[in-house]
Formats: sequence, C-alpha cells, structure tokens
Amino acid sequence: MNTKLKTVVFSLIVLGLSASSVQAASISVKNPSDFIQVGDILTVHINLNTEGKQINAVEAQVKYSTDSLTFNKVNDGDSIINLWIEEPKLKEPGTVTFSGITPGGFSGSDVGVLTIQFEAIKEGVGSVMLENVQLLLHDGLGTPLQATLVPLAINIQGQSTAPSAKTQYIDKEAPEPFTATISTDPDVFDGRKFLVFSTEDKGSGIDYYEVKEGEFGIYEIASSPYEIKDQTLKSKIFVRAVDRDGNEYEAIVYPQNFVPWYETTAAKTAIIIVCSLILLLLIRRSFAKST
Amino acid sequence: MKRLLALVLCVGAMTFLALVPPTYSQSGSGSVNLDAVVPGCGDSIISVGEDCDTANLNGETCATQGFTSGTLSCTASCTFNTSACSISSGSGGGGGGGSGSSKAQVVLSGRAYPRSTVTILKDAQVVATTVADIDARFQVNVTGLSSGSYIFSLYSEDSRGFRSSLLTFPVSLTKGILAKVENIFLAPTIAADKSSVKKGEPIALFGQSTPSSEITLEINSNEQIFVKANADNGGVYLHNFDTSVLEFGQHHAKSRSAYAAAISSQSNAVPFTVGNETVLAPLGAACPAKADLNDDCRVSLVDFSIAAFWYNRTLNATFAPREQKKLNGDGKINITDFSIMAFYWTG
Repeated sequence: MNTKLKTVVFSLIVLGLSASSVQAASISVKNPSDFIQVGDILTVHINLNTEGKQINAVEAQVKYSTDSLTFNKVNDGDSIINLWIEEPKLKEPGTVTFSGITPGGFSGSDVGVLTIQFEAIKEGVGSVMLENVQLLLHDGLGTPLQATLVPLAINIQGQSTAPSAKTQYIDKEAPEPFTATISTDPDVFDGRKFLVFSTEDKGSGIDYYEVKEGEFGIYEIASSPYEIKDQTLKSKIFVRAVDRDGNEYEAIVYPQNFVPWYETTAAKTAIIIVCSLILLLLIRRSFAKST
Repeated sequence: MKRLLALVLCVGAMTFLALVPPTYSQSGSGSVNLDAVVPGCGDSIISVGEDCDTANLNGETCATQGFTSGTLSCTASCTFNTSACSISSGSGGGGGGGSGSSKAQVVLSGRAYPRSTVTILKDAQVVATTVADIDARFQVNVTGLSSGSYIFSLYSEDSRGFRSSLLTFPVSLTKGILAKVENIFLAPTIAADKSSVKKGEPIALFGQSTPSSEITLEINSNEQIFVKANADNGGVYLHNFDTSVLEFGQHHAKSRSAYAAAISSQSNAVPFTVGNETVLAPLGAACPAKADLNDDCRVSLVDFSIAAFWYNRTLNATFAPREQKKLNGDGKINITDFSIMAFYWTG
C-alpha cells in the first residue's frame, strides 16, 4: 500500500437471527492484514448476512470515531435496498443514518447495503460500529430479527507519503430513467395534489431531487411526496434526479390540465398588447410622415 | 424593411392566436372548461413515458429488443409487448451473450398461467408487462439498463383476477451483455370458497397454474397436511378439502406447482377458520390485505409516499384509523409499517 488512492476495504457483516433462535450477530474485518496510514481513504462496506432468513427492511446508525476518521462520502448505488425511508447521509459528525426497504425481500450471506468512504486523519485506533440496527423479516408483520454487533477497530499508523487524491472512481452515467406520478390523498398535504417519484443510480447513488413547475420556474430541492404548487395542474412539471457525481436525469410530467405557456391567457394577452402597441406605433409614424 | 418585418411578425402572431385550435370551451357563466390537450397513450404518437403507441413502434423490432425473431407489438399501456418475439438459440438460466448495445439488458422467460398478464418489477417499480401464451409461457426483454445489481420481481394475475405471490431474485448486469433468466416458474394463485368453515364440512381450495401441472396444497395445522391436485388444460385446479382432520381455530393454505421437473415458488397464504358455522368468502379477487393505503388494490410508490409523509409524525385523527387497519396499528409510522408494505408490494 503505497498510495493514498488505494482503498482499504472493510466489511461490516451483520448476522441476523430470529428472536426465537440464538441471538447473535457480528461485525468483522474482511481484510485485516492491510494497515492504514494517515491520509489514506478507507471504504467501509456494510453487508448483510441474513442466515437464510428472508428480510425486507433495514435500519441502522453507523458510528465512527471522529478523532481519527473524517467522513468523505456514502455510496448506495449498488445497494440491495430499493426504497429509502431515510437516505443514507451524514446526520452529524460521527453518525451516518439510513433506513430502507426491499419489496419482495431478499436473503444472502454477503449482501451489500451501502459503502461509506472515510479518510484517516490521525494515527491511533479508529472505530466504526453499527448501532440501533433493525432487521425485519419478510413475513407481512415486520417481525424484528435481533442482532449483536461487534465494533470494527482500525489501526492507523504513520503518514502516507503518496500524492493526495480523494476519489478513485467517477460515475459518468445518469440516474435510471423514471416517471413521476400525480396523486392525492385526504390525509396528505390537506388533500392537495402531490407528486411521487423515485429512481436509482447504479454508479454513485442518488444525491437529491429537484422539482420545477412551469417552463420558466426555478428548480428547488425536493423530496417525494412533493406538494404541487400549481393545484390547477396546468403547469408542466420537471423532476430532476441528480447522482452523487453530478449526473442528471430529468422526468417531465404533463398534468391533466396542462396548457403550453404560449396558450395561457397571460401570454396571449401580453402578445396582443405588445403587437397592438407596435402596430399603433407604426401607424402613427406612417401617419406623421404622410402629414 | 424593419417596419415591414415587424408588421409581418405582429400580424403572424395575432393570426396564430386566432387560428390556434380552441382548447377552451365556455360552459355556463363565468366558468371555463379545458378540453384535453395532452397527448396520451392510444393516439399513435409516442409521448414521454411511452415506448410505443398503437402501431407506432418508434422503429423498434424484436431484434432491437434483444430477440432473434418474431413480431414486436405495443400493449394498451404503450409499452413493448415482446410475447411474440423469440430467441432461437437456447442457453442456461442466467447466462448471457454480447448484445452489441451500450446498455445492459435482460431477458426473463418462464411459465405463469394461460393468457395471464405478467408484471415485471425492476427494483420495486413496474418496468414491463407481458401476456403469457396459451401454454402459460412468457418472455420479456428489459433494455436500457446500467451495469449493476438489480432486484427483479414478477407476479401474474389469473383469469379470475387473483394475483400470485411476488417472485423476487437479484440479477447482476453488465453493459453490452444480454443476460437471460430462464425457467422462471411463478407460484399458483390460491383462493378458498369459505372464510370460515364448520368443522367436518369441505372447503374448496382453488386457483390457476401452468396447464397439466401437479399442485401440492399445504394446509397449516398442528401437523402440516399435504394434498395433491391436478391442474386442467386451462391451468385451473380445485381441491375439496375435508376439514374434519383440522382442529378448531385459524388455518391457512398454500400451494406449489410442479411441471416437467420444475417446481414453482410458493403461493400466497389463504386464511380460513374452522369453527361451528360456515361463512362464504367474498366473490372475486381480493385486494392486498394490508398496506394499500389509497384503496386502489395495489401497493406501490403512492402508498409508500403516503406513509412517508407520516413517517416520524404524530398521526391525525383521520389517518390513525387507516394506520390501524392497513398497517401494524401501533399509532405511528415507522420501519415496521414499511416492512409490511414491502411484503404486500405490487408495484
């Protein structure tokens, strides 16, 4: 290991057993022979071993030692989780949270949930551990599995002399194509119409969504469900998904009452007024010349 | 010259405004109704979100969809129907070959029920539907995918509208490679004619699977009871089960299908009670027992979004009863409710 570009990979294995059986779980280091130097980038993989059980929901907090590690970024691009209830994100220094489901459920001995990239900033023993883990069975009841967690210790020794580099892989693909749907519910936004949307990005994961209403609207950061401002449903709605490397995919929604901007009463009135003024001006000049 | 140009532009603009097809019609005093102006499925124009529209296939063929022969058509929902496309060269399940495409694609094929609609979900969202042939075989090609791991889920609806359980499996895809997942065998549908049955009376357990397949019914009791039935040429099976061997209380039945050495995934469970009286089950297909928050007989991103709105919030007086009925009834929305939703998901 002689470059800061080299990533040291750990794996946090969560073993889930049903509450009725032996309660056990572990977090283990996948590549313990590697050592870390200050300035190195570490990629911690959070993987699941479901021990043959079918599960469909995962929630956890990832705690790391802020004195020796600094958060770089999270990647859920290749995650087993299809729908995030809480997107994986840095909640506060030292804590990354996530919560999500996989409709249909899944099982496996080494299933990837997400990866978190850290930078080693100080010599010593750093730690990464999971807390408040919830693994729920795919049984229609949300029965919890119990998990015991073992913290991961990371020995950071010496200063890396390699050139500094923060990233290894740049995702150049746009998020997956998607459509957004207008819906309404008496208990959501007081019965006002809202938009639902979701997509994925296999490279770096979705960073955020933006929504713009109307051709000349302004994009605003949004999440699903999004309360539509134009409740008359006349304005075209643009939903943009942006991945963590800045690639975008834009979905366009044509609401049921969509009217092109040039057909709106305001646009027509403006065109008529402007043209009338120009005509008046031309007639007046022609009249002035002739006299 | 400039004046002439300005004059022409103004006259042109005003003429345009005058001649634009009327999109509004007056109705009563002071109210304005808007006629439909949005292009939609069925107008032969391929709009946003449509793969095709009626006979307009946008230049696509079975070959461009990853097949070697056949006729591509368009479904009523304006997605490609590849049921009449085929791949001549056989290969093992999960295999693949070069497709010459810059994107990844996957062909999914297997058995459902005769003439049944098969719905394919990619990472929890509906990506395609197709119709199985008279022998219950189906094949669908999903194109334009990125490299990476996907979760595909499939289900079908039988001739009575009953849905199968969701069959879910992961597929790892690579750009330019055509992946094939073959021999998918969807679970039979299952229903019962009674929701409660007087002990000793028979209960009819029925459903649909692949024609001429062997059905194994599993009835939950103190000891699991297994009985066999045969699906007819239309894939329909029926077994009148004698409940005298069951104890009083709640039970459920599930089924699997076997055909040509292949065994299907397990069906949903149909619950029933053995007691002192008989109550007939409602006619027709049932909506998902849970999680269908907007009562559209589906559990989809809309239901997920409704639940997400109330996530970590105090429920109001009107939503609390819905949570009680459709989710786990603990008076709050948390990951347990979303787990229930994931179980009943239809996309």
